[in-house]
Amino acid sequence: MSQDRDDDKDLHRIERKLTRLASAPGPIMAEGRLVGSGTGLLAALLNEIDETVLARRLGFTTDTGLRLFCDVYGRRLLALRPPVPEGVETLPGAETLIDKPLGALDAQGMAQLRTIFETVLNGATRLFASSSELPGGRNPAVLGTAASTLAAAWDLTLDAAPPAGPPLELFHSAAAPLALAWLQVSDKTADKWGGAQDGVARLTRFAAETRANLLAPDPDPTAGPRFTVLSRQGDSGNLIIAQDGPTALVLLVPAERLPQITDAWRAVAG
Amino acid sequence: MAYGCMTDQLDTVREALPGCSVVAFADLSAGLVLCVSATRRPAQEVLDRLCDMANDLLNGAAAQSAVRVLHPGPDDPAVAPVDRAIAMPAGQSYLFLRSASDPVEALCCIGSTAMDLGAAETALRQTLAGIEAQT
Repeated sequence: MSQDRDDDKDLHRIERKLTRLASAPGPIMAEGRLVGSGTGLLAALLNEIDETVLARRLGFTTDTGLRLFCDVYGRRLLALRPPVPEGVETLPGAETLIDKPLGALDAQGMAQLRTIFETVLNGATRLFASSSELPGGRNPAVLGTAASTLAAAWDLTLDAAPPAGPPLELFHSAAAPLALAWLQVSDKTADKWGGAQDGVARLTRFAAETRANLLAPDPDPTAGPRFTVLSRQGDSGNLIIAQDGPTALVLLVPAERLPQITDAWRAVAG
Repeated sequence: MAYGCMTDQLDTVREALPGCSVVAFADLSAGLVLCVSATRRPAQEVLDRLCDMANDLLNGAAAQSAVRVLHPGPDDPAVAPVDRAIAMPAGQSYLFLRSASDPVEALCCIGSTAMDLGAAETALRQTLAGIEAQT
């Protein structure tokens, strides 16, 4: 009976893995790969641990600029590694959880660990992950705690980790930091912008002139998200228009960053 | 320039670009593809649509507004127009390059998402320069 349950769990994990492999990976940017956005970042973090089989050091970075390192092996959390964000080291239990090999945590340890994670994720809307070799390799004596155990204790379902987000939102996350300026237009109204003020002003004028009906020439108007680059040889910038339904993102991007931008689009929209 | 000779040039560049399926030389003012190289000959409607895309992207209202984004300052009719456009609908990449010597002519390229756009632009610009030199 127990064997059947284990088989079901393994099958379920494999199915989930195959589904994730078949879907577009999150865009890769300086902070790492986008693994979650919106709510449910804690589940996204546990999912990353749960999908890490080899000995790795995972670096989790939030869009609020906080960073946390986790040593992971066999889908188990082996250790939290410094540096940790300011204030985390003073949380209850931090002295026994940070930079210490973790065994099978008890209920109190798991609750304290959750507080640490939630402190780091507090206020964040996007989570990125990077992975590197585990320095010195894995210590076989360190047992760690399984991500699935933490998920069960915290009443989280790993499968329910939210999808990384709609293509335009994912693209925005990856591309905006690379742009000189950007402007988001939803239902023909500019609702978000960032970057150099002069650039934003130019993009606002562009959006107004084109009424955000940016580019009609699509081979199939019923097709999904669209991405267009307009530029002139010798110019230092490219104008980029990414569209998905009534929402468009226009960006002014330095010429040398165009390959990163097109890669980011391909990663989210195929 | 004989179109047969141009076809050879288009064949050469297409075959050198992994993922590239169509390279076409178009007259934007006439809305006509004058010469095409393709892994499989596209239907005329596909070529017509390709020409329409090139025209809209390089000459349309968005392209004219784009010039004012790329070239801030007082409006100047002498400012060069958009001469490169990339479109990436799902699963495909389109690259359009306007001729420097005759702005109504352009090279149009269709490829998969695996096509290296940077390499494609370099190769196509060389081809375009070769065509310009012969016409």
